[in-house]
Amino acid sequence: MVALDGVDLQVHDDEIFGLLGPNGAGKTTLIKILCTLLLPTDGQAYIKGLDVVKQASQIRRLINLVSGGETPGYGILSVKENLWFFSQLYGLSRDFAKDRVSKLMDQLELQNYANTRMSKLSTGYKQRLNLARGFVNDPAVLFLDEPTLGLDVLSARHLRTLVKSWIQTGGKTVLLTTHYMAEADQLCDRVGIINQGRILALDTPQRLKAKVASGASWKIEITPNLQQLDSIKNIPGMVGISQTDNIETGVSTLKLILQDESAMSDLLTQIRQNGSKVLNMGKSEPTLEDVYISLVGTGLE
Amino acid sequence: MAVADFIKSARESFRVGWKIESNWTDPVLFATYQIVRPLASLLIVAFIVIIGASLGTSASAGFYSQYLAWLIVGNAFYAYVLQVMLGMAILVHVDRTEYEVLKNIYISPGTLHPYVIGRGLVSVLNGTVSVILTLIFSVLIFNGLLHYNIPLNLLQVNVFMLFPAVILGIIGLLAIGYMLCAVTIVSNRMEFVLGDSVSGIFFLLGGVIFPVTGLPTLIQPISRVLPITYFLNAIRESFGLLPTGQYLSDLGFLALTTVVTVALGIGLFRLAEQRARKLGLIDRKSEY
Amino acid sequence: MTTREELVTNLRAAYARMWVRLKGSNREVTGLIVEIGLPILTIGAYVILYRTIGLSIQAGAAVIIGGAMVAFWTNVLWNMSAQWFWERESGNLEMYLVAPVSRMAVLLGMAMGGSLNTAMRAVGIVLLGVFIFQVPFQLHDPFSAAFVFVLTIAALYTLGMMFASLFMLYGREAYHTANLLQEPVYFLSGAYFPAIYTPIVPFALQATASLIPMTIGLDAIRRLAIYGGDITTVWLHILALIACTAILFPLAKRSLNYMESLGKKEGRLTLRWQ
Repeated sequence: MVALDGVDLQVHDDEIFGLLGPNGAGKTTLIKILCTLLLPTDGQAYIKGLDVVKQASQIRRLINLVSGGETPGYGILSVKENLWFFSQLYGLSRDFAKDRVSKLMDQLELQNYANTRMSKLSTGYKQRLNLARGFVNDPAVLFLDEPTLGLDVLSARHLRTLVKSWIQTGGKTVLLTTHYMAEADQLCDRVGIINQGRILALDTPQRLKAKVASGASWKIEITPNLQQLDSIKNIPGMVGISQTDNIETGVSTLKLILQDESAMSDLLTQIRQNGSKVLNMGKSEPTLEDVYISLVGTGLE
Repeated sequence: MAVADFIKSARESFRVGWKIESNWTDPVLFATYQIVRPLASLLIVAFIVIIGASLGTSASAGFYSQYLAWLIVGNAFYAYVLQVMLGMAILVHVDRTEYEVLKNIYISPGTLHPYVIGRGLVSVLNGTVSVILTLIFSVLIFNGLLHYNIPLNLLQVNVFMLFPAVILGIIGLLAIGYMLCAVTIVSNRMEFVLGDSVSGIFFLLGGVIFPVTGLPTLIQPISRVLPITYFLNAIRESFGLLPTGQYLSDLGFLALTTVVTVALGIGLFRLAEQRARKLGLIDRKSEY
Repeated sequence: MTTREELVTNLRAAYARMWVRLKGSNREVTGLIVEIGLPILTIGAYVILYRTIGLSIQAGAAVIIGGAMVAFWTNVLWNMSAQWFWERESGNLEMYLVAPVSRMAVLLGMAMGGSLNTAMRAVGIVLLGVFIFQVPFQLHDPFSAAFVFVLTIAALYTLGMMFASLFMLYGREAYHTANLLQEPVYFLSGAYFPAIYTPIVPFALQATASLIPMTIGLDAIRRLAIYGGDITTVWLHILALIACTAILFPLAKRSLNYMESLGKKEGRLTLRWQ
């Protein structure tokens, strides 16, 4: 099984680089190679000019990793104790570590839980602790592997704000993997879209969306949903289509990219033949999801 | 819950439990694993007796070979105690924290009882494999290899005496296992020490490696109320290692203590289940 | 990073890991009670067995020392060897592997914390055992006994480090393997009966048993604490224990590096619930 296939990219200093793709695209595999957790079977990778295979120990001084959905640490220790412990893995002196831990708890609003055992924290606060752990050595490169996985909307937003303000301190780089389009759009300076181990596109979110804007991006609400999307995808002029069903209302939303607007009449015919009714339709501003659809042909689901 | 549904649930629970227990390695290594620990435990106590014999203490020569046979049978069948205690103590933790399926099992139609019994029976099966292999290897080692001529003939065991004792004993052990599940469902982290602690208590008090009369007088009454004491006595009688005249009495006491243990086990489990539900512990993930 | 900075980082990491082990273990009072109480139960069973078959009262003392040492072996198995397995299951292994510290430093911290913890428990076991079972000790050379004890612990935990490297890649086999290594080692090392220098025990068995540091250390401590020996009676044991540590330490380091490299090639380092 090939997890990564000819991935060739460069992440610049002081940049938040996003890797966007569905589950199983190879995002975590790439991060693990860069974090020196996994050896590549072929090719080279460098962090700040250091080879991930031959100079792993030097790289580890410069990086840290925060994985979403996981909360490494010791449940029986308090937040402060856990952070102190992590600081020692990076050789921080006692006083410096104490100061750094205190500042991190303030920044991530963990002061009220300083003496609370990690096992007693809610998921959101565990992830804050996880992020604090990621910042503890003030890494030059921070890897965030789906950091908002499992978080509610507010917590996710808060985390993104923290990452943005952290990188503004200067001399930092973030490589973020996510399958949330909006997160990549909001947070990243550049985005790489990955699918089945291959990089399909790599640019700023604005430029990626602008490419899609050259094709028409439509949103059509229908009911009931289309059973077979394959015949629709084969309509000449159709670049890509995705369907999202709302079970409560019974309304399905089609998002499609058309190269040629004449495809619309064939599409409407197919919708009618399916027995569906068009409730609403209109052109929309291209999003990263549209970019993804145009590249892959289907939605992220 | 209909009996057929109960049996079906227990059977499926058993199947899943067996898959989990056995699929970590190949069958040969699995069988080896089942035999090595109980055999090593047996060899410890056997060598103590052999060393005692070689040092020529006050007891007669025949005493030691008889004692060895008595010890081998007790230690072999103690494997049931070990397997059931360890297996059922860890059961709730495994399904609640590691596999996170306990909540799904709980909200499905029916009760947790067939689930616990099914998984408990997996421990019984593991124990059975250990018992059989330990007995066979013991005879091979002590009679075949070391020529101690211990009076233990596996082919001459009285199966009509053995089976009722084993069945009742297993029921009693499963009932104690129920109690362990009850404790672990409402506690945090006890599962790692509970199985060892309880089996350790039975090792000391149950007449496994010495007769309960060897215990301090103050503690002996505790042994007299434990099912395991009568379980091992009845089994040794079926092997002809104790006077068979006591068999019915031991079986009777085994039945009585088992009935009491079952009642206590089910009652405690129900109480624990209700408490766990009240406190939201059914799907709690305990972390270290 | 200079060599000095690297050394300081590793020492800090070792200290921090030791601190976590000490803090965590002593926050659960029930654990403390069980870790002392459970060995007492087993010791009690064997002491009564010894008395039942008419062995000398000193045999009871041998059992108590054996029971205390068994606590160390259990700690080596479950809190050292299988530790990478537990760390991986809880998501901590990645954190250690990404940090710029030597794996040996982390294991050293675990070893120090574990041995300190267990030493406290072992003292409790011995004192309780002596009080309950009224067995005699003849300790004429406490410094030699302490020296041998420290050497035994060093050798045991170095063995634990080596096992830890093997367990790094194990799934549930780690749990089962650790289980498998309990009773057989108790038997071979003579935790509950003297395994070496006893004619009745086959020579092959004695030779095999002597490869385990616990066997050598146990025999030496018994000679010093029960039979009133001094350093001249255990000089061979001391040499053997030093040799054990000297051989096992570099082996552990190599094994750790090899297993980590293998894990990275096969992508098994961060696989969970296998």
